[in-house]
Amino acid sequence: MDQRAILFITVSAIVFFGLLGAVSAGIWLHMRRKYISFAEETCRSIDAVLNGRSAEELDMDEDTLLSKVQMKLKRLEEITAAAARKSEAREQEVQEIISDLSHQLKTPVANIIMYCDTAMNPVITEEERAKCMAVLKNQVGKLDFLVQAMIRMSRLEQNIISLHPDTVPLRNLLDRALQSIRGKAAEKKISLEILCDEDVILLCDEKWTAEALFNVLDNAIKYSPFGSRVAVRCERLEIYTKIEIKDEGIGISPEHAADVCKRFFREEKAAKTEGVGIGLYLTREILEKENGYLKISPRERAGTAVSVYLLNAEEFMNASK
Amino acid sequence: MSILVTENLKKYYGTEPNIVRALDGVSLSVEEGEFVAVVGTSGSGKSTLLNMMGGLDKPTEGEVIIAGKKLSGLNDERLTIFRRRRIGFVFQNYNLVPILNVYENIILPVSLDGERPDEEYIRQIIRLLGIRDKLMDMPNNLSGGQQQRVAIARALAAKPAILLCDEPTGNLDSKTSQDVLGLIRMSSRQFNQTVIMITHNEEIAQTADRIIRIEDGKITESRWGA
Repeated sequence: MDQRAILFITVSAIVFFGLLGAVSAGIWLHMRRKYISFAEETCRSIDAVLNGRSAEELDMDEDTLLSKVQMKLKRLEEITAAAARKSEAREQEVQEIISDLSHQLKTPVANIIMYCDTAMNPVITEEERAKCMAVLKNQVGKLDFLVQAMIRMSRLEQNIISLHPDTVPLRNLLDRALQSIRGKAAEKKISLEILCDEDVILLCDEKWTAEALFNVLDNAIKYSPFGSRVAVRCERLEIYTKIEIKDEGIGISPEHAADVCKRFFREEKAAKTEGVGIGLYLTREILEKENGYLKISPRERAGTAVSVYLLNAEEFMNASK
Repeated sequence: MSILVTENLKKYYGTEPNIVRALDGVSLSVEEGEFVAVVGTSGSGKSTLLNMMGGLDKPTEGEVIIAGKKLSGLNDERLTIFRRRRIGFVFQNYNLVPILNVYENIILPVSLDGERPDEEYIRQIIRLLGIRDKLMDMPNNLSGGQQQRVAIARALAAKPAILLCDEPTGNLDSKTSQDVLGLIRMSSRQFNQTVIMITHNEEIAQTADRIIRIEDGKITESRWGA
């Protein structure tokens, strides 16, 4: 009796553990197979991405783990591709700058050579020579202006000078920008009207932002008639401060509002005024680098209004506390 | 590479002779990283266009292709998942969930996907949008501008490739509009996103890279903006 009971218990225990073992082995095998197939699928997805067939082969819209992984792979592919395209575009841009530059430099250099030759000709009168010299001086000035502009631009382009946004009182910015513009304004008897609460503190790079503002102000003065008015108004918004510069000049045609920020773009009607067309381009680059932005409101015949938006320092500081 | 393409998109309501052509053959393509404004008067079909682009509505004819994928080839369930993972929406009336606090609203699309939010990224968005000290507030206690900033944060949280904005500043005063616009620009640039924004406001459209004008369901003009 006892022995039988022991036997029975032993047998059933063996059977039980045997079954348990079989079941766990089954589960283990099943999980292993699933695991391997998931890994294989993932590898296949990676292959699909590598072979550039991700769009056809990946299924990113299912509520499964694999689909989620595939979706992330696809996004990775897109971001990498975007970065590659960006650097390609950048290369292209550098090429274009070089060709633009040589084109811009060609005219003054050709003029200088020509007038130099004429000035060196011994048979011309003193009066003619003086005229040549005047032209030469003018052309050299143009060359100097171009070279200066290009140095600034290339430094910014190549990110050699990275912007260092810091807390800057609006007062300092305006002082810097206005200081260099007052002389030009006085020359054309243009009155500068400034309506700003100068206690605002902004988050930007003082030197380059002053340059950006200067470019806008310089345009306002350059393209405005004698004795007109340029108004600078600041308005503090919650996140940005808007600095609006309004003139009574020749204005921008609405169809060109888009183009004036492009490098070397100049409207036909601006041909009379000296310039190469990089002021607004630089301004926009500088502002974008410090998370600000630029808005141009074309108002032909009524002048131009350009708004510069800069981040308020306090709002940002509070937010990142 | 174009991230979004529409091919001869048409949306008709009703039947002849009382047919309404909300969209009448719109073909356009948007490049990755572009900031595009779609302008038009009310009733011009611009909202219909945005709804089609986001897969919220089905076109009568034509095709929407996002990142090489035809939306018409997806069933409802797949479309929902596609939208959740790929597209961020910002609406005029914010559409925040009133019983969730600000933080819960922001991470809602991510948690719906059964995913743990990328804390570092979310923190970055929150800081960028200046709503750090509002996280525990309920949406109803926020101003319109603040609510819209929360809605933008929510749209960005799932790291969508495309941000579709339907009159994002429609309910905001002019001051706040300029703020919100700057923020959309800034975040799209930082997170490498494509933005398509609908507006009837010319001033606001001027800040876009490209302006697409739509009238009576047709594109009348497409030009590069400031």
